[in-house]
Amino acid sequence: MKPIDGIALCRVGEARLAFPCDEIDAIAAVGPDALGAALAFGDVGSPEGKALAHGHRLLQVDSVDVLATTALAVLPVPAVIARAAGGALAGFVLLAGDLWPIVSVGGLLDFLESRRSGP
Amino acid sequence: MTTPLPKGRSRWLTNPSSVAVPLGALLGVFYVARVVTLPEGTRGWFAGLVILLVGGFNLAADAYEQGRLRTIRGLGDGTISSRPDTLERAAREASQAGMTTFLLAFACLGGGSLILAGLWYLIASPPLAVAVRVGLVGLLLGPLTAVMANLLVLPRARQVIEELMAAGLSREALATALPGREGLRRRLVIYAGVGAATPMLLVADANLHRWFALFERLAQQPDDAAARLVLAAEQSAGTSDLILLGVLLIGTVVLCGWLAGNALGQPLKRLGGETERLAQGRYERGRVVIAEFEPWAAANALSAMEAHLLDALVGAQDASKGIRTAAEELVENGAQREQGAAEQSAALMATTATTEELARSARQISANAQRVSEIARTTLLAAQAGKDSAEAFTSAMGQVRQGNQAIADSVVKLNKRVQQVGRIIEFIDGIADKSDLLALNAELEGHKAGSVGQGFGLVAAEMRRLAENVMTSTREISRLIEDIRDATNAAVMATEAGVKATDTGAGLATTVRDGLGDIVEFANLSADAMQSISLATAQQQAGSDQLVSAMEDINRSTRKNLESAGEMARTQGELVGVSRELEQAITTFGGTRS
Repeated sequence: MKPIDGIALCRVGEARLAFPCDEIDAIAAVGPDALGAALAFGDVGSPEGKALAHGHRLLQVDSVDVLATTALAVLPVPAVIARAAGGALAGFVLLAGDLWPIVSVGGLLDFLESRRSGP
Repeated sequence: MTTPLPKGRSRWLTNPSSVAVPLGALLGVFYVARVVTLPEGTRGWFAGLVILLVGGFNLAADAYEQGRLRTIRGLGDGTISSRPDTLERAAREASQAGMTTFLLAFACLGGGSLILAGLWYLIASPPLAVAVRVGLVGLLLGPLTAVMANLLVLPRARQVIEELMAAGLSREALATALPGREGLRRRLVIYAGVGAATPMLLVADANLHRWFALFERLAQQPDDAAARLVLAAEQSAGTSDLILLGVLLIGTVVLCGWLAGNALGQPLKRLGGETERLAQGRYERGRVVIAEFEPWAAANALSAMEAHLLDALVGAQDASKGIRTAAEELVENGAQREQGAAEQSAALMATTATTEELARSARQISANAQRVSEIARTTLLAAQAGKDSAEAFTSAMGQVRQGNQAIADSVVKLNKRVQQVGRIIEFIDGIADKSDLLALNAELEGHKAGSVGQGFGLVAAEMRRLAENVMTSTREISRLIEDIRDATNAAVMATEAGVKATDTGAGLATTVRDGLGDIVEFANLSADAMQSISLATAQQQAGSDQLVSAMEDINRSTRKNLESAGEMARTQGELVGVSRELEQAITTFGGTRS
């Protein structure tokens, strides 16, 4: 896997999510149109937080930290798990002993929209 | 109980006159036969006429007397009932029987002798002088015979009157039938005159007749010798006839005197007996001594006096009984009064003890009232001080309320300021949040720019940390402001509660002040009232002391009364004894109610 430069470390409840800065257009305040990342964990999530703008869509997370470190090694993800995750999971990075999944913002928003619309 | 008049009392009453008249006639015949020389040939006529006239006059007089005593006869025969009027009339007849007998005897002797002399002179023609002397002898013997008949009838008339009283004649009716007349002296003069004059006149008549007869014979003698012989014969003839006549006359006079003495003395003797009976106290109602003239008045007065004495004794006995009854009642009442006095004394003793206890209680009450009065004054002062303190407390509470109110106002202002600070902090926090977001985007853009934007990213990261520090500080300040707001709210609430408590305290203080004012007023009234009570109890104490003194006086009086009651009871007992003795004495004197 090619190392990655710049990720946004986000927390959603107890979960850790890392998004590539490239997929984030801006960081804005939480609005009514934002989709909560907590929904992916079957949770409602906190009303506060920040929204990651991706196009015209917004992904709500509890906190956002921009990691300035460059060329972070990305741990690969088995293909089965990547397909099972809808193609949004791009790999993992190990930071200070913690394993952070790298998630595509667009893929997570698609997943969330599919969850919201329901089967 | 009455006794009927015995039968034949009218005849028995007039019997003495039937005896006296013939006796007087017999005395006269004897005198005439001895002294008067009746001519020969006239003596038969003289004797016949004497018998005829004596018998006739006696029968006529008896018939007249019986006619005068017809009521007595009727009562004795039962033909007339015993009524007060018939008894009174019978008593009147009996009382007049003596005088009737006297007059009839005098009339029989005097009138009979004159009629005898006249008839004898007309029939036998004796010498007129002899006939006159015969008539004069009858006139001389008439009073004596009448007196004797009267004296014989008087005792019988008295007895008939007593029998009439036994038959029911009342003493008052007897007093009416026998009016008191003062004739005793005249009657005695008559008795004495008749008793003295009749013998003297008869003796004088006899002597004069003898002397005249002697002178006549001497004058008829021829010489002195013959005269001497006549004188000698006269002397020898003696005086036996004259002596016999004198003795007879004296006997008659003595008999009259005895009868007079008996007739007059018997009532006096009975009066003496009655007086002695009265003196002995043996009184009898209705007893009266029948008498005439002054003795009758005395007897009547004595009987009236006895009746009055009996009435007085009966009254005295009734009074004595009343006195005894009253005395016994007095004794009983005295005993009751003594008992009542004893009970009263005991009650007064108890009352005195109670009064003394009351006086002690009054003194104690007075002392307590004095102490209460002092306490009331102390209470008044304390209440006044409390009132002043309450007023000061009320004033202080007002100041506290003003202070609390000022604090509350300051706290409210502080709260407002804190709220303004909070709003500023929120504004700063918003700015910091936006700054953080901007710094985050700048850092993001810096990383997107790659190595060119690395420095920019670092600055953005530092700005973000500053923004986060600001946000942390603002959050801390917000918490502090929140704490300040809570504290100020609590202070406001506490201040408002303090104000309310102050208002309540002020209200309570006002109430306490008003209450203390009322207490002061009431304490003042109580002090005045207690002063009045103290004065009243002092007066009551004085009154109780006076009452105790008065009760002691009453107690002494009651004890004296008890002693007097005992003395009175003893005196009343003596009075009962005296009244019984008096009643016994009155009973002894015959004072029984008839």
